Amino acid sequence: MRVDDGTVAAASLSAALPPALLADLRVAFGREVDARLPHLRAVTDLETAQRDAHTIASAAWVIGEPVIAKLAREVESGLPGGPVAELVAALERYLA
Amino acid sequence: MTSAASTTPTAVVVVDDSPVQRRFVRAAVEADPAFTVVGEARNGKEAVALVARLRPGVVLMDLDLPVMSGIEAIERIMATSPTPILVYSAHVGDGETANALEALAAGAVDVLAKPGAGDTGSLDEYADQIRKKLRVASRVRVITHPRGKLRTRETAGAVHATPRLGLTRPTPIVEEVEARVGVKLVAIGASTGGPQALHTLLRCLPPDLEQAVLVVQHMAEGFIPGLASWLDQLVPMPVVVGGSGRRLQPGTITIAPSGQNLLVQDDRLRVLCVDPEPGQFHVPGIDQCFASVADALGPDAVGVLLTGMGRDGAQGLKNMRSRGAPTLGQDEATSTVYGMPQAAFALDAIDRQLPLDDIAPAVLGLLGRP
Repeated sequence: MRVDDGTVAAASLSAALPPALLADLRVAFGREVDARLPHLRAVTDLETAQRDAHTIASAAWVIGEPVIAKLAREVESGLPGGPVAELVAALERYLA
Repeated sequence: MTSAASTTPTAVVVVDDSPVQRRFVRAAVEADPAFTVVGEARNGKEAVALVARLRPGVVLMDLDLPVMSGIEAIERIMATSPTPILVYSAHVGDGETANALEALAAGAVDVLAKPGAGDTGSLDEYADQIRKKLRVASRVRVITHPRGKLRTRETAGAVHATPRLGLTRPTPIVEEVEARVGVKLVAIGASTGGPQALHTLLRCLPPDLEQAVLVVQHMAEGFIPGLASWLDQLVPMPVVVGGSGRRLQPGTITIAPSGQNLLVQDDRLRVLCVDPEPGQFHVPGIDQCFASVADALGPDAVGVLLTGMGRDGAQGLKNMRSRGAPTLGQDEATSTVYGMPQAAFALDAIDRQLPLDDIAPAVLGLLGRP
């Protein structure tokens, strides 16, 4: 697969999914975010935060949430100053 | 392509800590009536227990798992309930690629790149890849793979820090082979089951080999540099990834890069990497590489075709043999998938068909090495 700057419209990727499956996946993603958000808010354990970000990145790509996927991938990379706060804000917006 | 509806579907266990991924993968797998998902595990420990209880035909497993890592789960499954395991892993960095190679060494059949942020492929494409790889994996015969058989726990996650290992002396081959004069290159092709087979073969080749070694391994895009790094730490000869304009070096193993065909241009072993032909299924192509070796070197090369699904490499090996090059093929009993070597054997492209452990001694015999 080709790789671009990470802002590709993942939303269009999920468009091919049957609506019922996509609805299921979005519900499952909401539960997943609920479970992982506390770790990301606290960030007391970088390894756990990176694992959460890794899982969120792939899941967000599947359901067509490119902004969350990109932010999560950046947090997962573990670079200093990763956009943890931005990721948390984007996840909170998703849940809202 | 799906199998007939009347046949019993192959039971699949999906292992992933993400419910989104599990749901998506289940839908992707069950779109093919040849498969049915019989269980889902959220971590490595659950996976080991579930596989022992359900005895599925194939396991689809993410590597990055909580509680028990994917690598450890694979080792335990292969030691206690041998089952074909297809691993999917994000190729976001060297660490993950190394993990994928560790998974293959631990007994996984194949690796599939897990898409993520930045990928521009479609979900349909990804789902199709999962089904294709599962079809291959489900047909693989697996044997008990005791933990640590191919690697030790000490090397896990630290392949770059592991000192180069010494030469593993091959056991003498029963039947002597006649040494060939003037051989410049050993060309090796492999697909499913290839990384383990390559490790077994290449660890027996000495670092002062006067010939160059060229490897074409079918592998998901993004994993070839990891394969080179992994092998580089496990075998006596240095391992590099090839590129256009370079020359294959004596005493060095060059691996064909992903996404292109690697061609040998002349008897000075200069290399050209070209885009695949339209509709070419396997990239890098073994046929294309072997055919170029036949043209460039004629009898001054040795061809080896190892385990793999399909028939890539068979015609190229035939070309090499027709030009006078000695050719070897892995036998059925030791092949993870006896597809490519079988196709070559049927084409009369193989001089000698051998168990995997006998191939390195045969190569060394042809090169006149004791």
